[in-house]
Amino acid sequence: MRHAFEHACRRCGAVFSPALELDNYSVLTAACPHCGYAHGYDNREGKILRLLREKQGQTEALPPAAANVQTAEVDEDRFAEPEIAESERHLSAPSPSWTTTQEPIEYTDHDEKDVVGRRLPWQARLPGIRQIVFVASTAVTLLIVAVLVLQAIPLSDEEARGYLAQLKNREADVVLDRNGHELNRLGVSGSDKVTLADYPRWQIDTLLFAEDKNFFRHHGVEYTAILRAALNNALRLRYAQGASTITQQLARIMLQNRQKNILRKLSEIRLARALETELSKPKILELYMNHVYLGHGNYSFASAARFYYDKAPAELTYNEFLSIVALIPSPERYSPLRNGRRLIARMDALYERMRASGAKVPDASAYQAGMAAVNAQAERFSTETAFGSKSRVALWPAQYARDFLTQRHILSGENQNSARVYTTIDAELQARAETLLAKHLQRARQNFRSVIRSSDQKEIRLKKKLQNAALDSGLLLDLGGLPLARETDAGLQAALLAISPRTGEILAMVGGESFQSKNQLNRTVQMRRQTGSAIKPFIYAKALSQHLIHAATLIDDTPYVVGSGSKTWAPENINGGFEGPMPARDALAKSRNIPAIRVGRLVGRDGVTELFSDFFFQSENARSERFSYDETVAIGTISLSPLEMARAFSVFLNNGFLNDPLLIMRVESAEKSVDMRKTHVDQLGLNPASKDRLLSQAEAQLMLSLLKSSGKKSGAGISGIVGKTGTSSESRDLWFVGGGKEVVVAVWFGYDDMRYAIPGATGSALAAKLAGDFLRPDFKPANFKLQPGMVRLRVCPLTGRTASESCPHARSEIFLSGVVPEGECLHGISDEQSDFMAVMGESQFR
Amino acid sequence: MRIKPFHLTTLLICLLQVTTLQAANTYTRALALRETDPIEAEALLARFVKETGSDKLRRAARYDLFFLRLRNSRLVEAFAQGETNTFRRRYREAVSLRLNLQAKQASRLIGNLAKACAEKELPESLAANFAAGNFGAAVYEFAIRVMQNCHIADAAEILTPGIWAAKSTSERQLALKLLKIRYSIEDAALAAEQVANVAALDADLLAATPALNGQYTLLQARVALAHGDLAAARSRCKELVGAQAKSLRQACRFLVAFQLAENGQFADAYQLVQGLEVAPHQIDYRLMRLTLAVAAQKVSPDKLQKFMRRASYRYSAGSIKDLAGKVMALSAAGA
Repeated sequence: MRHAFEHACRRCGAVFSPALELDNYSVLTAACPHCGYAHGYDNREGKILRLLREKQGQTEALPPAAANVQTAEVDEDRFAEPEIAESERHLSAPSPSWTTTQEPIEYTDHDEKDVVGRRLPWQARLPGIRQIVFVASTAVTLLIVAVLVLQAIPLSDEEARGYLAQLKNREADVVLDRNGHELNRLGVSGSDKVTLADYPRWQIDTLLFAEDKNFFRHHGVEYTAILRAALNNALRLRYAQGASTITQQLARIMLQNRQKNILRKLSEIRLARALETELSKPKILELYMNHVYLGHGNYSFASAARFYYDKAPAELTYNEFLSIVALIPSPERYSPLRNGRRLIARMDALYERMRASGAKVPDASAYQAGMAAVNAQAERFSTETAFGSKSRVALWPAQYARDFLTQRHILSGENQNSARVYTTIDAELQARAETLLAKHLQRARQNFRSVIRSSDQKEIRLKKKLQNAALDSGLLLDLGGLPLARETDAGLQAALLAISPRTGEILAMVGGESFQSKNQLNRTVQMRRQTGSAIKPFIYAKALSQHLIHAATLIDDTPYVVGSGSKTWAPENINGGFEGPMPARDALAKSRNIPAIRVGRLVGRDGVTELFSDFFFQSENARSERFSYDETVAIGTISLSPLEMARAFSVFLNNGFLNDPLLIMRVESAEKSVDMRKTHVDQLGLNPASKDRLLSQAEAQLMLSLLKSSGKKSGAGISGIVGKTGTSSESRDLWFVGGGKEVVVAVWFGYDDMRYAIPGATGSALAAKLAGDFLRPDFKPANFKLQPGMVRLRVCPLTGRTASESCPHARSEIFLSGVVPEGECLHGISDEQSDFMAVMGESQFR
Repeated sequence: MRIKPFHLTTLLICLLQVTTLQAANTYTRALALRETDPIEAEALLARFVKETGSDKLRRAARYDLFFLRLRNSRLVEAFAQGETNTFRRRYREAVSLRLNLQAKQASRLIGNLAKACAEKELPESLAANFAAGNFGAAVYEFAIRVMQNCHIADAAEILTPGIWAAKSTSERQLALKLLKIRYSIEDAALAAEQVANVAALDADLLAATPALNGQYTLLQARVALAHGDLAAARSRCKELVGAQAKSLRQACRFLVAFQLAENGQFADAYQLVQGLEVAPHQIDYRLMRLTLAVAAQKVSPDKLQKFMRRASYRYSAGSIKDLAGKVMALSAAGA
């Protein structure tokens, strides 16, 4: 349908009536019949027809005089269609403006003067653009005036002194143990503060050149720089340049506010101005250099010099010092450990600017030669922090807690929070664990020599060449959202994690021999290794809970062969021999592999899968990602972390209940106090328990009884300990997991590089000994009580039956009610009572 | 088409694979039969140990065979398997358990028997061992059968020669007398004389010991059978009553049935044993009942043929195997 309306040509001004198909929702065109100028009409949304109808309605309603009133002011932007490409602009002329029915209607974005028509009612209700501009400019002016006025009023001396006192009193984050004893301080320490005199003049000059050239001339704020930065940022439409003087930066450090907004800037300026009146320039500079954040937990130049180059500030070369200065705008972004190229680019730019300005700098060749030390930083671990060098106690849990809290933004990584982090760690146990671990590691290194298994499976002694190859290879782990950690030290390592079985609280955490800048792999949580026989208690527990076996069930320890030909799998016991049928209790205590496999087979694929879901993974996703069933899992081919092992083992000592582990109890900082126990946030990269109770009380007690037998044979040397050792294939991983009423401990020994093995070593020789020494001083055995639903019977271990009265091998055994041995053994029964006579009766034929 | 080396190699590989699969199948079948047909399982395992080419499977089968024998109290058959420390220890434990010996006694006995088997004669140490030890009849029975398996002719000589002269003062002595009669049964006159001797001297003790009395009654039946007196044997069998004598009664009936079969009275023989309960491990009785059923034309000869192809057939008593052979021949002739 065509709708005709009159329209004044934009070129010649003649009125014509374009014939348009207004049902066609597109950009329509019509040429002026007088001059041929092509006009465009945007009808993509059907506005023309709609407005035409509205207008017709209005025209009918209005008196003739009113209908003739023309509207000069039309807000064209209401119709603007910014999506139209530039190439289409000559056609687009977004929606037309409407006049009365007699007047032409057209919209153009080229020429306002061409627009004619009447103000529409909805347009009339809006303020005019001039009004808007006026109000906005007034508001901006007032704001600028307010800012100028406010910035001109510095903070009072008293307030400034308050901030200074806070800065001086500012403390590192304190990590405390469960009893409120200080474990560790993470942040700046007294030794990191040096006087300005300790820095050579050229270092001061370099810093001032990079950060604040007019430091000694301004009064805290440099307005020209602010203006320049504002213009720059406006032109680039992003925050591209800052204009903070060193005094302002110091003010920002004092205010501990990293937000980029006008109010923060205002506070910063006011404090900066106050500081300038309160302190001398050198003092400001000194405070700044002793508190500026320089990445990886370094809060001063002295700290950064030691962390990055292991030097005092005065010993730094030009390149080294420049690299630290270059970090200031964004220490993590320019970190040489994370992004060396970006840092070097910034250093190069600074160097060129200094050289161009005539500053005293090394020549280009010396500068290039000096980059070696900076480049070497890239070889280090991106997750390193400086805290390792500050205190040697409880660094593993302290650092873990701090990393966790900063990752969750509960603490700021760039500021010193003066926070008090209350952990579940027991300082005494932690100290004991660290001391003993170091001692046992030393002993192990003396007694056991590592080997590398070469590609042709021929065992060879550790040689320097291979050792270097191993060092180069490294081990990469990325677990549970924790940062990447890399380990290249080929030395024998160990880890210990102690947990309270009742509450899941971590009592001690030692992730390795020492928490050094070169090696911060926390093996208790970031490492998963094959568990070996330490997994067997869980397999037996499942079989017991499903009533597939009881403690006296005879299980064959005889060769087990699956498959044929080259695909034959014939697992062995650790001593290579087989002992024949034996009671389940003995099989577990002696850690026999074949019985465990047979029990695993009894439990079946579904049962074993369910077991791992319940005890270790707690979620279908984690299970399917980390677990695939085969019969070898019953002897520990699955890889788990010491934390996972300790948590799962706690079920036996906690009446069958599974706890979620906890490391951080409470965080108190100036800004907030968070009770971490109430947040129910997973702190240790494990899924929360999917089921509360995994074993009944009777089943848990029965397992305790079995585990006392294995604990006795474990080598831990503590009477009443429940536990299990584990040794993975070729002694690559040595485990002990177990404990008593109040503490469960998981201990691991091995090499980070899995090509290394420890021939001759077993979990019992190393891991259990360490666990025993750790637990012994205040060991409380787990109480075993015969629960309802349990019975105690005398059994014959040779037959798996209840013992006859005169059975010489009889021993007491515990069973779940209804799951007891059948029949009685024949020990001590006379010929006449035995079936000997029946046998005689049978063999009558020859 | 010319046969090329390639063809031969392929054929050889196929044969090897078939053999391996068949062997593996034997092993799997043996393991599956351990509970339901233990003697067949034992025989299959023994065959597998001999035939398999896989060292791992052979070792596994050897363990399975050993512990299967111990579990089924087949100590005599397991005697030769004392190859490893584990086997020796577990064998010692089993002997101690089954024969009611102390560990040291069991160890010494096993050592002496091993020596006898090695020397193929009765060593003095063994005789001294038995003379000094107050062993029960089961120990003697065990030792004699082990030595007989080692082809020592005069194994039964370990039984105290002078026991006949005096009245038995204990159940043990009486049990030894009965054992002696059992090993003399082939000499019908001697056995009859010894049976009469026991009746004369130990009637009181026999009356007071039902288990031994049952054994004695069975021996009387056997002596009667040896003299061809079926009626007397049957009447003796009827004297075996009560739950305790169940296995003796069963043995007695099969002995009579065997004699009937030897006389060609297959229908009567089958009628005598057809209702008896027979356990899977009683392979002699199973073979005999099936043989009699075939002879009485109650069952197809194919079943007997199939039974005779079982691995455990070789463990059956020679006399019954002969009977089965005769019956099969008769069936073939009849067909």
